[in-house]
Amino acid sequence: MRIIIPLLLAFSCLMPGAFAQNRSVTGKVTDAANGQPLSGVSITIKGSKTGTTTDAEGSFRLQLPSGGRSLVASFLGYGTKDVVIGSASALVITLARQESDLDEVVVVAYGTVKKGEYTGSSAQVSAKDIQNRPITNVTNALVGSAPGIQTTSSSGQPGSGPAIRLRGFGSITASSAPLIVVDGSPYAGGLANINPEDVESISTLKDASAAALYGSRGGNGVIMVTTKKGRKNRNTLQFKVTQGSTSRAVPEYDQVNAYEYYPLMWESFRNVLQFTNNIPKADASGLASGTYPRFTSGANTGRQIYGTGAYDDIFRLLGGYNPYRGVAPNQIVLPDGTLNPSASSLIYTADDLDWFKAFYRNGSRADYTLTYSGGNDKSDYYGSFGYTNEKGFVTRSELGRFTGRMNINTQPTKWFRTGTNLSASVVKSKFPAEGGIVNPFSFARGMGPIYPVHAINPATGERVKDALGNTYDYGNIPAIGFRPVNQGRHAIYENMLNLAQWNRNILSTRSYADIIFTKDLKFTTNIQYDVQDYQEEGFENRFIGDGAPSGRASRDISKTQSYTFNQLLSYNKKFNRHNVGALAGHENYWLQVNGFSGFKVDQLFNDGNTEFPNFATISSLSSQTDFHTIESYLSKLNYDYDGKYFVTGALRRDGNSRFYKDVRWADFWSVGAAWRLDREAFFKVSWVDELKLRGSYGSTGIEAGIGYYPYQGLYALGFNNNTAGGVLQSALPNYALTWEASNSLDLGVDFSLFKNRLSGTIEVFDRQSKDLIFNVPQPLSNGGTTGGGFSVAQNIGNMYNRGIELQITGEIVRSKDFSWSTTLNATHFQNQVTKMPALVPEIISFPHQLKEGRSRYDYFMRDFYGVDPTDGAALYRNVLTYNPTNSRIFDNYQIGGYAFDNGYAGLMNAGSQYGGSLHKDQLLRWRNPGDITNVPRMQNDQGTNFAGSSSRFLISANHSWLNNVNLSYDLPKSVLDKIGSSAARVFVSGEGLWLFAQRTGMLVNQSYDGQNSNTYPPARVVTAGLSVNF
Amino acid sequence: MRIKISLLFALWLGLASCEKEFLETKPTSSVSDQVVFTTTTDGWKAIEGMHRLLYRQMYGSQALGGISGNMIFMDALGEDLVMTGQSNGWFINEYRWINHRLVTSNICYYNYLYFFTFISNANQILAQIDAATGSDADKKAIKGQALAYRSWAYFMMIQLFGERFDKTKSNNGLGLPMKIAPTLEATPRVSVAEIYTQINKDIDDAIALLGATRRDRSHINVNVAKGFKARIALAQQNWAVAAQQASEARQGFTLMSTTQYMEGFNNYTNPEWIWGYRQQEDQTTYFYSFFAYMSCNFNSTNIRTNPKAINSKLFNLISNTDIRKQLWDPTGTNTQFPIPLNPNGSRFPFMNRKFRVANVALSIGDVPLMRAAEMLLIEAEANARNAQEANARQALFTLVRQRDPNYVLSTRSGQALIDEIMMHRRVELWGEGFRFYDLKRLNEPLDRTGANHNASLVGVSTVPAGDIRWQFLIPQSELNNTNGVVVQNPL
Repeated sequence: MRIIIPLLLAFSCLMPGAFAQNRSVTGKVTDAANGQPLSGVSITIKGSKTGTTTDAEGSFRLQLPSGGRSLVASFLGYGTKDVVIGSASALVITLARQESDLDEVVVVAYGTVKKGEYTGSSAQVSAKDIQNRPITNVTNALVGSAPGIQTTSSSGQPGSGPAIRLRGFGSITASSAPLIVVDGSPYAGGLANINPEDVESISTLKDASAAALYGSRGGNGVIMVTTKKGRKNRNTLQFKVTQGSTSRAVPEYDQVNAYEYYPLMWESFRNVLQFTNNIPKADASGLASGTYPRFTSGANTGRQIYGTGAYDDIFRLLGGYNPYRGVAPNQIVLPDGTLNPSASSLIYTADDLDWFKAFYRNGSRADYTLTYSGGNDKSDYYGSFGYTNEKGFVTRSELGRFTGRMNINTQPTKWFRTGTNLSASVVKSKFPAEGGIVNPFSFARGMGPIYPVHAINPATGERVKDALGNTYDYGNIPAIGFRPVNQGRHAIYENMLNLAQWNRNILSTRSYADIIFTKDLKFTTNIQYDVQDYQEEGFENRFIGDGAPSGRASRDISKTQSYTFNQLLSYNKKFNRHNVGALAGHENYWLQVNGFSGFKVDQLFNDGNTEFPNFATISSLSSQTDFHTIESYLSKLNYDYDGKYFVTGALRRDGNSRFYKDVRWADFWSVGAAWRLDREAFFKVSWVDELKLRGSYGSTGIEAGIGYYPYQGLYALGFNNNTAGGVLQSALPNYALTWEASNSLDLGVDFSLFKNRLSGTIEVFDRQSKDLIFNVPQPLSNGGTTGGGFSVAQNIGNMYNRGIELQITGEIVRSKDFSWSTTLNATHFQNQVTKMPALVPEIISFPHQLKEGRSRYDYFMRDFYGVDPTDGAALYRNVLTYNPTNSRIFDNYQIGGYAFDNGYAGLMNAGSQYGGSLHKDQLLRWRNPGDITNVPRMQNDQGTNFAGSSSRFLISANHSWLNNVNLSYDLPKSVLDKIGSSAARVFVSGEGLWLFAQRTGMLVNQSYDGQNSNTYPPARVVTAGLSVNF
Repeated sequence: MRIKISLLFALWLGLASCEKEFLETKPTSSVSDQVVFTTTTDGWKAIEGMHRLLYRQMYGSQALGGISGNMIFMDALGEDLVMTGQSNGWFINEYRWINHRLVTSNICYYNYLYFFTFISNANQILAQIDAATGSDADKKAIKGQALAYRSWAYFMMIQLFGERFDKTKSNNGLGLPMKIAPTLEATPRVSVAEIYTQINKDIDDAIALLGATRRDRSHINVNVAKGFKARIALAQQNWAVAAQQASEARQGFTLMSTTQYMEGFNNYTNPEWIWGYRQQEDQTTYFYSFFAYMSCNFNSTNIRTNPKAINSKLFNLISNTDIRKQLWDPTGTNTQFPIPLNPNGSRFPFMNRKFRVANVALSIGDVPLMRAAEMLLIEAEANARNAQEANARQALFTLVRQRDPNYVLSTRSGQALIDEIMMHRRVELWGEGFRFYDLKRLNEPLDRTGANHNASLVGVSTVPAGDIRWQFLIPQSELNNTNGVVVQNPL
């Protein structure tokens, strides 16, 4: 359940301008429907910029210049009206309420439709909603925009966007992500390639009626992005610039400090000696502190002598790091477990121990866009150029993007119309390492608070230089110590010396030709071609890290090309009160992905040259080409009677290369109906402006995310043995494999009340997925691949997503200078798996279990119920299931449900990693018999038992994001006139401002499976901008 | 006119896109299972693929670089390999005897699935190669290697998941599922005895089919097959067969010189290697490699902070004039032992330099899977246990004299002779993956006491012979995926 409250306050300020005076004219503007005065109506003299607005009584007064013959009255929601002045000095102007947003045109599959006549379910984000927001990836605009849209939180890496799900989770094995369509065709690139300024609207198609025309790809809904085009007789030129900063939006977890750390780790070791080695507590404490005599020779030199054994002390186990001034190594922690009171100051500064600060910085964001558009009776054009540069709040994280777009349409003759929308983007990005030890986020989070970033000689306090002249502490410098965690590594230094970057070029075209046979009959052909080139360069240095000691370099190059080519015949006819529309067509979709990758090691010269000739040895070299094709026949039919009753139908037949030829073709369809009650003669409720009932039912498919050749039995190449070619069994066939099918029912009411002051939608949906694909795991005794045991993809599961969605917009203030409206949205949905494979009725993949009657992401884990007061052991009972989706999700906040806090679990490790960091809550651990606590005892060798995954790390997922606030100010006419501008706006805007969660540091909605990980946290972006129109 | 033009245009567009093959696609990184066994030339590629499986990154787990995962596990479970630090944790919970008794662990999953992957590939080859076009000689060689692999894979597994084979008993405890045809149903476990019967049948068939010639030493020829037979017989206490087969297996192979002995155990052209794989540069296994854990000089975190050492008690049994004593540094300070640079690795007493990478930029290296020395040790042991002590002493002398110029023919007999042979076996085969198998087949206890095992790290110091923990647990996913057809060992 999600409820979404966009905290978007739009202030619009209109100021009367100065004008030349001649004679004056007064008047009053009223609502045509009820005669009520309308305030805030804009009145201008036609052909000039002179104007005013009506007051609270709907009255206005204007000085009329010579030559002023008519006025233009316009008001939001009421449209525009020309009024001839004539000789009257007191005018009465009536304005009729327009159908407002219900007249809004909705982009749907293969066409558009008026929202008031639409039988399906869709949500719209328009250019107006995006224009002031400092988003690099337009996907971010969908966050909280409408009910039924779920999003994750974006990573802080510039250009990243959230993952999107529409109405729950459509699949288990295949993709649950909606299809992305840009200007009518599936888009081969990511939406981060598109300049948000170019976007006219984003239409989210949620139900089958909307998505059935995308057939085998429509099952998870469709997101349709439409870019801007020029308008007849409206020539514009706009320049927009924004500048701002980026910083970390979510703080770090509370961790113990250097003073708290040593006694905790002492205890972790002491308890090993006491509970595992069965050494009496007093002796164990002494050994842990280091009070026993030591071996001076042999393999155990330096260890303590106790009985027949040789024992370390905590100082040795922590690598010989003693951060305290003036305390001997064997006196840091006293045998009673407390820190030596003399340890009152550190030999390091706070910065020395702050691993995050070592690679954080003040990030920045700059964005410049120039757009221009216009048109005449026969042609229109839109053009733009944009440049965005965003530097993340982490060093070596950056995105630079150039975008250009040109959209031209022309109709040179009565029977032929054509146009091309061409866009190009060049995107370059640098990023910190994302996995392994070199991931700086997990490295910094996991570092115990006694280890310095820089190599500081404890004897002298001086920094120790390495061969490159740098002073980082990799944790194995003999004069300093041997850090037990990630010894010999330094993720921050490594990221500085390494290189990780990609660049991506995308060229995208959408062209069409209309042949207009008659007024009613039209033939259209569309051809879309997208090409995306991607090149990733990696270099790992030879001094430290995975690249040491020789240096290594990688290249990953790919090229993705796709086309959609269709031929459509459409017919629209109006006779009497009947409106009929029909469309029939044929379409081919083709995707080709080429990949090339190489990896070389043994760098010749360390001179910044990271190209392959500077490396001696090939470690790997490969390439591949994949294809995906779909051929389709499609049709749709619309009918309405008198604008009151609407019926639609759609049918698509898809043949898809992912499936075997005998089962490759399938039909997808939908029907829908709507009834405009408010247009009925019998319906006379004055405060209802609009009331529509609608419903749809249909069938769509899911085919993505299962590989390109899931039915084929294969032997993998690449198993060459030395110089001899070799192959190995890699996939078992299933020729019966086909689509996942999704049958969706949608029922909704759209309404608008009180002169559109209150409007909204309530709808319910029931999305039944069947033939879900499971990769049914085969007995291990039947063999497998290098990735694991064989599995065979089979269509055997069922699942449903049912829910209710609500969206209400209230126009709270509507006045002359100020308007404020707010939208609330809420979603509650229930997801349940209703059929599992007979062979594997339960699939457990930590922390989840898939099972009939349970939801897709139910948690399944040991149930932690406390700590045994007698010995501090963790107590678990049966494995339990927790439902993560039994929650209500509002636009940007969520109530209910659970999150599994991996980050916290890693810091509550019971001291199982010497040198690893600990959460403050670890201070609450059990210490002595009788202690009542819910934190088990510290014990290094009991990590699995005392700190292993369990319900202990589930926490309420209640959270709220303050996602976006923006304020804008339209410059007054007096200023505009001086700069020769027709409109100008200044604005400040913030994204990702604050996360309110149940635990400091916890990132709640990082992924749909409810877990978080140690990756780039979300960014807070605050910018100020100016846009000027001419 | 306008309409005619338009219609033609429309028709053309409509036709242009309808190609018959438009929806037929196939991958470029794989080949269809329909074409692999068309000819014997193609069939050979399926055999080469199995050889390559010996050095392949498995299951996304860095401990598993192919067969090297099994080798290191077997030594980690023993007492002769000493972990000097926890490092990044690889092999530590195996060293502590936790993971092979944990149904969800890698060590159980890998040791089961990995060997069954050899078996399933062998079964496909055996089922299909007869129908391929090509020479009988090819078919014999292909089938011989497939059968030898099936035998070897079952043998490697049965010793872990079954109870110890005891010649004096019925061995009717649960063994493994019997998969000798490429079928897909779940198959229940049969007895240990039945599995050994199949192991022997397959290796006997393989020996009959295979000759001495082969492409290179990664292939299984008759020598390797006889070596397998010798190992199998040794585990089944069939001493005479073991001695005979071991002797035949090593024919044509000479022991390495003392110079060669110090060359890093990374080159399969060494005259002593009967079977091993050659890993070339572009077939690297990165940090999964055997040498990323067992060498002294590759720059992996594991080697920098946990260089592998020998049990000090065992080390002290080695004669000072034995070249093998040079493989370990009792002081932990000998700079003649190469360690990783940039940043420097740690040194520990008794760390090894037996295994080294040739080029420190690369983790690759050839790994010995069967050496003539092992065959001599089998001969010596089997003869000694079979009251053929003169033969036993002679076999031992042949080997040890090559290692230690001062060695003289042993005068020991009875258990003392057996102990001497076993001491040399432990020293000679240190780090090559034999120790757990040896302890189990000999029904001996694990005893790590009185040596340089780190008390804070080792977890388990002793395990009595015959303890339930000598049996690996069947991986949970096999129980799940067979819906209970395969059952678990006693917990």
